[in-house]
Amino acid sequence: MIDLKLQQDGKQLTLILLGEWVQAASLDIHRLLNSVEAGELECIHIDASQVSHLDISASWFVFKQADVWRENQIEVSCENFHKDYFSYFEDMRAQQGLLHAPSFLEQCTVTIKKVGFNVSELYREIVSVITFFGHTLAVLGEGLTHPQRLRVPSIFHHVFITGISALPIIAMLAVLISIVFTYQGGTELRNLGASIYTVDLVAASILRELGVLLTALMVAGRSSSAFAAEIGIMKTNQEIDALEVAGLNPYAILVVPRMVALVIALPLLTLLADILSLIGAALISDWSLGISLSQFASRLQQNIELHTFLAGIIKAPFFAVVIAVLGTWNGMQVTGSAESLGHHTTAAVVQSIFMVLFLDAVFSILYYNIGF
Amino acid sequence: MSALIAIRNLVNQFGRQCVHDQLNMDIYQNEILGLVGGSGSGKSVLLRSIVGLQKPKQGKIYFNDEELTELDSERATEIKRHWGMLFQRGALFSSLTVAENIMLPMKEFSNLTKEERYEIMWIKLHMVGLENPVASKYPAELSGGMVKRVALARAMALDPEVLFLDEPTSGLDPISASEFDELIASLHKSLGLTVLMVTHDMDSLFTLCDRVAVVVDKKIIAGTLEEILDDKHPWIQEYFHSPRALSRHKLMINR
Repeated sequence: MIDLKLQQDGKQLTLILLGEWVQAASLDIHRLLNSVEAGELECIHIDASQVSHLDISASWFVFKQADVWRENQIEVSCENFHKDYFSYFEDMRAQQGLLHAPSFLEQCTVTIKKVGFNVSELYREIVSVITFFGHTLAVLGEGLTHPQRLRVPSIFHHVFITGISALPIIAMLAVLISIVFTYQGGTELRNLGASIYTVDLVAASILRELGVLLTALMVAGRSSSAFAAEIGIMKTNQEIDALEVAGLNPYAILVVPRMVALVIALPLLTLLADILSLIGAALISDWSLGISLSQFASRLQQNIELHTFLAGIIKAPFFAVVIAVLGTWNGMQVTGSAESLGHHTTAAVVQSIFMVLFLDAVFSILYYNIGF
Repeated sequence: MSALIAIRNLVNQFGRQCVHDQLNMDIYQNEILGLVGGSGSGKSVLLRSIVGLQKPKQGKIYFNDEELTELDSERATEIKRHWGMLFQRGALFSSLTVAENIMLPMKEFSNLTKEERYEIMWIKLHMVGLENPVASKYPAELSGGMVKRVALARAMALDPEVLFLDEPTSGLDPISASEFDELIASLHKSLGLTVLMVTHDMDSLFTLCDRVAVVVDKKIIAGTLEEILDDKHPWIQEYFHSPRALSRHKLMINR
C-alpha cells in the first residue's frame, strides 16, 4: 500500500512518500496527490527518502504534479528522488509538442492522408501488376525459345498441387452444381410439359459458363492464396533476394512454373467438371425427371454443338493466367510483417476472383458480338 | 542475502532427452547475472522455464519466496508484471507501431489513462536512446539495433524489477553491441534492475556481469567471473580460454 504523510508548517508543506509508489498504484497516487490542498501555500517539499519502492512512472506522476503546483506560483522542491529519472523527464520535456495523445484534428488529418495514400497506392499497384505480367511474359518467351530453361519438374510439381490435388473438390462441386441445376430447371420445365428441354438448359449453361467459371473460382480460392503465401514467406525470409544474388531469376523459378502449371491444370479441371456435371445431370434426369439415359444422350448430340463446349473451355487458360499472376504478384508485394502476409493472401483471393468474373463478363460481350 | 529468484531441483525433459537434471540456481536482487552454455545446453529452455513459457517436468521456481510453477493464472499474471523480457529477435508485434508496441502492456495491465500511457511511452523511448520520430514507425522499418532498443523499451513498459535478456547483443555490430551494453548498464544502475542475460558475447560478459552462471552437464556452475575462470571443468576451461575470450581477458588484466 502507499501513503502520503503531510507535515504543515505555516505556509510550508512537506510531503513524505511512504510505501510502494509503483505504476500499478497509479489510481492511488493520483488520489493522494490530488488530495493535497495547495491553495494558500508558498512552498512544498516532496521527500522520497522513506519510500520503499519508487519506479519511473510514479516519479513521473509526482514530477507532473510538481509542475502543476509550480504554475500556481508555489515553490516546489523534490528531495531524494532518483536524479537519473528526473534527467530522463527533462530530456523528454526538451522535445515539447509530442507529449500528448493525438488530438481529434490530428486524427482527421491522418484519415485524409490515408485516403490519398490509398488512391496513389492503387495506381502504383496497377502499374506494378502490369509490369509484373510483362516481366513474366518476357521470361516465359525466353523459356519457350530455349526450352531447357523451362523448369519442367517444377511445372509438373505445381500441376500436381494445383490440379491433381484439386480433383476431389472440383468433382464434388461439378456434381453438386449439376444436381442443383437439373432439379431447379427440370421442375419448372416439367410444369410447362417441356422437361426434355432440361437437357439443353443444363448442358448449355454448364458447358458454356458454369463448368469453367466455378472451377476457376475454386482454383482462385485454393491456388492464388497458396501462391501468395508461399512466395510471401519466401520474400520475408529473404529467399527471393538470395535467388537474385545467386544470379537466378525469381520469375523463372517461382512465377513462370506456377503460371504454366495453372494454364495446363485449369482446362483439364474444367474438362473434368464438364464431364462429371453432364453425367450427374443425366443420372438425375433419369432418376427423377423421367428422361432416360439414351434420350439424354441423343438430345445432347442433336442440340449441343462442339462450339458450346469450346466457348467454355477456351476461357480456362485466360482465367488461369489471371489467377497465377495475381497470386504470385501479391506474394511478391509482401513486406516483413505478419499482417502484410495476411493482407496480401486475402488480396490475392479477392482480386483473382474479381478478375475472373470480370474477364468472364468481357468474354460474354465478346461472344455475343461475334455470334459465337 | 536471499535470492530474488531461486530455482530448486529443476528437471526438464523432451522425450528421452534430459536437458536439465536437478538444476539449482539463484538470482540475487540488483545483480546482473550472465548465463552461458554451449549450443543446445538448455540456456533458452532454462530462461523459458523461469518466465513460464515452458512447464518444467519437476522442480520449483521461487520468486520472492513464492512458488511459481503451481500458481493460478491470475496470480501468475500479477507476478509477471514485475518482469520484462527481451527476446532474441525482439519479437515486436509487426502489425503495431513502435509506440503501440510499447504501450500495449500498459494498455492491458494498468489503469493508466491514454494520455499517461503516451507520456510514459515517450519516457521509455528516451531511456533506450531513441528519437521521437521512431515512435510512428513499424518494426519492419527499423534496423536491428533499433528493434532491440524498442523491444527493451517494451520490456520496461510496466517498470519491471527483473529483466530477462535473451542474447541482447546478438546480430548487432560491435559498436551497436557495446552501446547496447552501456545502455543496459546505465538502466541497471539508474533503475536498480535485476538482470538475467543469456549471452555469448564475451564483451558483455566481461564488462557487464556481476556473476556468471554456466550450464554444463545439465546443471549450473555459478560464481563471480574470477571464480568461473578458475573452475576446472573442461568445457568452462575451453570456453573461457578460447582465443576470443583470452583477448578480452588480457584487456581486463591490463586494465
